Amino acid sequence: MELLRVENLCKTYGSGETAVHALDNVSFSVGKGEFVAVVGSSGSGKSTLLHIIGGVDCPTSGRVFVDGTNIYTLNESKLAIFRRRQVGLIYQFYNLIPVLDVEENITLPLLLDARCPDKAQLDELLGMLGLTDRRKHLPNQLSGGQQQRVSIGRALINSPALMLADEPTGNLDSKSSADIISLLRAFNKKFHQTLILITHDHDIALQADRIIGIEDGRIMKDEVIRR
Amino acid sequence: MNVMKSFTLKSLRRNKKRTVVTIIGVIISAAMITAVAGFFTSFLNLLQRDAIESSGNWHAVIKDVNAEDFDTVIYDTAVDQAVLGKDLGYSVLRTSENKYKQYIYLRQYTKSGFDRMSVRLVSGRLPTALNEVAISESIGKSAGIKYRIGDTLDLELGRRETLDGRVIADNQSLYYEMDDNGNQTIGERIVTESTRSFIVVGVIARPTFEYSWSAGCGAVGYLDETAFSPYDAADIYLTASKLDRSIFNTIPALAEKAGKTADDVEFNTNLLRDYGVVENDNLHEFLTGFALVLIVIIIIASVSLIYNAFAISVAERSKQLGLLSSVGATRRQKRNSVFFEGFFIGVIGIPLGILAGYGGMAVTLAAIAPLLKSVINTSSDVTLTLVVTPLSIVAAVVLSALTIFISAYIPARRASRITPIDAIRQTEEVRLTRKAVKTSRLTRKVFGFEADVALKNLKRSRKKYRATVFSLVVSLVLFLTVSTYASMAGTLSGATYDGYNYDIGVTYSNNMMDRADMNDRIAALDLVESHTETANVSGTVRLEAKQVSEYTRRFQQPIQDGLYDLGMTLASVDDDTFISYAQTVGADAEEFYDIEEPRGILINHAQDYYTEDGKYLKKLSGDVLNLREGDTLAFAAADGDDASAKTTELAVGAVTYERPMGTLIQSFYASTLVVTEAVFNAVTNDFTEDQTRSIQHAIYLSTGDDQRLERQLGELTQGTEEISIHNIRSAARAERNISVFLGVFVYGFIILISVICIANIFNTVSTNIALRRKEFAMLRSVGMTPKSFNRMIRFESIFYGLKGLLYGLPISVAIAFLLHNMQQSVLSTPFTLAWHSYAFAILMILVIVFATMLYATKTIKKENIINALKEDGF
Repeated sequence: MELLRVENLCKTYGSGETAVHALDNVSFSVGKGEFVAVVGSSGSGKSTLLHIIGGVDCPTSGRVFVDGTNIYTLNESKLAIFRRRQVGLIYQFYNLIPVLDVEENITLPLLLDARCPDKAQLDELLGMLGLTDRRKHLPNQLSGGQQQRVSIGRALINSPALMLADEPTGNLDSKSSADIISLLRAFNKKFHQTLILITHDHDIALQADRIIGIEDGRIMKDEVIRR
Repeated sequence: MNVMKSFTLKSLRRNKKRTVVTIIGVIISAAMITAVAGFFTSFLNLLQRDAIESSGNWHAVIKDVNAEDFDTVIYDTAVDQAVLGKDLGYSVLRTSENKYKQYIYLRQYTKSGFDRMSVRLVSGRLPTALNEVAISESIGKSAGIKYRIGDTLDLELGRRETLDGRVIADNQSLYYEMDDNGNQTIGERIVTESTRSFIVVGVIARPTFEYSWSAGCGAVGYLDETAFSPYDAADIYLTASKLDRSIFNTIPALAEKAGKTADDVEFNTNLLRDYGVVENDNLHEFLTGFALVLIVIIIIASVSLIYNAFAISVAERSKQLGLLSSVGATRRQKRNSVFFEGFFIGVIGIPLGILAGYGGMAVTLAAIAPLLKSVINTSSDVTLTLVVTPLSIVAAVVLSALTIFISAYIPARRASRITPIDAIRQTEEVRLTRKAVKTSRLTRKVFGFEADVALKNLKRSRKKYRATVFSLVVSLVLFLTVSTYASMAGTLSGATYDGYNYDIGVTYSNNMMDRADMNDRIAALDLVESHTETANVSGTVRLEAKQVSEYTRRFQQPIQDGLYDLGMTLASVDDDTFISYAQTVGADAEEFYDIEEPRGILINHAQDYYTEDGKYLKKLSGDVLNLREGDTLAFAAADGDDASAKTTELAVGAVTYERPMGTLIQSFYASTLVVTEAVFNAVTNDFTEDQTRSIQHAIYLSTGDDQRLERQLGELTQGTEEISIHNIRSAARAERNISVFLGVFVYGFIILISVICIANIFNTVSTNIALRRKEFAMLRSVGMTPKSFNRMIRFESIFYGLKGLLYGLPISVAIAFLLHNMQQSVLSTPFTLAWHSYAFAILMILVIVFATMLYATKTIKKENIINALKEDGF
């Protein structure tokens, strides 16, 4: 069953002769529960693609359907609510709120929804993330790996249908990297969430169900490696 | 340009908004300093021009110098400009209609002397030959002699002396003697020294050497400096080449060189005082001190703004400076980059500020000059205009530059200490602890998650906010203190000049001898429109309860059952006044002259200010007594402690609320009985010596031009200690104008200081928002809607404003209370706060903070989330 469909997506920076085409007529679709790795060299447009899918950047043209809704027809408030409830975005540089502690950072999407986090669910999540004894710490009191796990927790707390991860392990050592990836895979399998992950790491890419290769803003390859 | 400088300029350009706001701050600060300095010099200049107008533009005169010694004086290094003057003396004006202006008084000047002695031509031309004169317009106006241009004057000129041969000094008023029959006759004569003929060629305004009381009307003639014989002598009016206190030594020394003595030197103290050249100099010192206090306040407010701007800039650039440091920038280079920033801002801001300051002052002075005129009594054609001197410009530049230097000093030192490691570490974030950002659970429950984040943000950057909260507090306190003071002064001034029905009062003390003569002289002044001569004595009347009004009974206790002793003023007015007063009241004046059956007109009106239960002052107005025409009362003049004083039966001839000029409305314990002079003299005839001494004499005047009349009266009565002059109209007007005048300056000052504070708030808030761009983008990326973003900003503004109010309000209230206590001695009113000012101030603080926040977040809200997230804070 299809969860995400991208149609003729273009993103251009600048105009005229200096225009840079970060995305050039990209179209593909991803099914529910699929784990897709996006690979490509620096500046190939893969991060831009991810951001546009996540609703934090705007395409120059083209459409993005998530669960049948074209997200760029939504107004700003509805788009914010879409981000809050449907998408979990994980950045390379964690982007945590410095004044909020681990628990608050993780439950941020719920708090913005004025909802109370489910205690048991939160505890389970903290346990899986290995942050149980760090729940009251501020981001600056954590290591890089821990901070990344907090940002993963934040992406997962709403059990969003779509998980987007932009080189989540780019800044981490190999041990932490492995932990993070297996964590993401576990959620992908357990909750049947769709996961799109950008990586430079060949080994990580090989763990995915499908690999999409992007060069110069175009899809150069799209192969399913396991079904 | 070296790399440090270009880096600095780039960062200024990158933070265009903050740079502009800081430059505006510098402009305002320089403008205010310029305005204060400009006002100070303009005001002194006004005083100088006024002194020149009234006494001429010269510093000293050496009298009666022989012609052969002229060059000794004129070409002395101590002398800048010199003109010759010759005093030809007095000649009788035979047909004068003014009994006090019986002479013409002639002085001659060399050509440039007319200008230097402030001779103002009214018609015709100035004399250019020895046999020509221009006469004072007072000859026509006061003495009533109409000369026409071209008429010939035959003058027997000479000195005045008394009949027994004593010399009368110039400018003394005409000397009268009393003969055996009590009639006045002129007690002086003129000793003729020369007889000459002159042609009238022009009419001039009253010259500086003619006073309104002078016995002679002025006239000026021409003196040819080339036509002196060696035996002639003349007065030399001079300006000193070096104007300071040393002239009190150099000029007398010069006089001695010219064969004269120090006694022949007179200084133009009037003018010298306004140049600050006096032996002791209070006014000058006071003005200087006042200007300095204002400038210090301006500098403090400006430093708090500009310091903040530099501190923010250094904090923002710490990563940049750290990187520069890691590739080898020295401490000196880092420090100088901040000073260069200050230099750049100053080079743009200070010149603009000085222009703005002078421009603003020119407009303000033009607007308030008419008000000021009534406050400081200057000659009619001297007005306050802006004067720009090189010295005041230099002072403004130096002070503004100093302000910037002080502001940049600490940030520059901090910049010099930035190390490479600071660039790598985000120092502030590291220090953040859980405890610092801990908030009550209640906040989130009651106000929502946004409020909680807002509060945490506030707590996080406590230090950064401190300077801005300080600015908030300073502007709040300044504003509230001034408005509290203004409203208190308002309640005070309302009551002061109520019920006065004359313009100028001249009162005599009881040892004044020739009062009648002085009354005549005063009444003869051409500016007096009407006058009332009065005498009054206070005493008591004993009355039964039914004769006393209900109001009076409320305020006065009976001395025994049903009997009241109430104050009464027995007042006489001159016959002319009495006749018209009786007419106004509807009585027949003839009935009031019978000294066997004395009667008077009862003024039965009282007015009082009254407080009840600590509430506001209330004005009460009504009858004092229940008396009717035909009733009698027993008047007892006050006589020390003697209770058994003799009483006089007086009849009430009429009862009225009308008052003759000079009589004031009484309070409820007293009334006034107006009688004729004849009756008054009869009643007071058998007074004891003490009682006679308690009689007060005065003359009250109405006029169209109280200021000129007051000056004339001052000149007329000069030196007479027994006379005091009260210009009620001018006092009331001055009081009103002073409050307007002060209002313009004080509120102008407060507004500009507030603008600096607002600029400060704007800078810190917008920088703070800019630094948190990434964080805001983060919140939006995880799904914060614009609505809840606004909610968060709103809460942050409110918390922020509240913090300012938390400190500002108690301080303001405390100051208001102190002010209230200080003015308790003047008028006792209950302590109240100017609620509307407080409400306004509170609202303004919140609005300013909120508007700034809104403005600062406007761009951020529209910004692409990803662009903000990519920002690395460099």
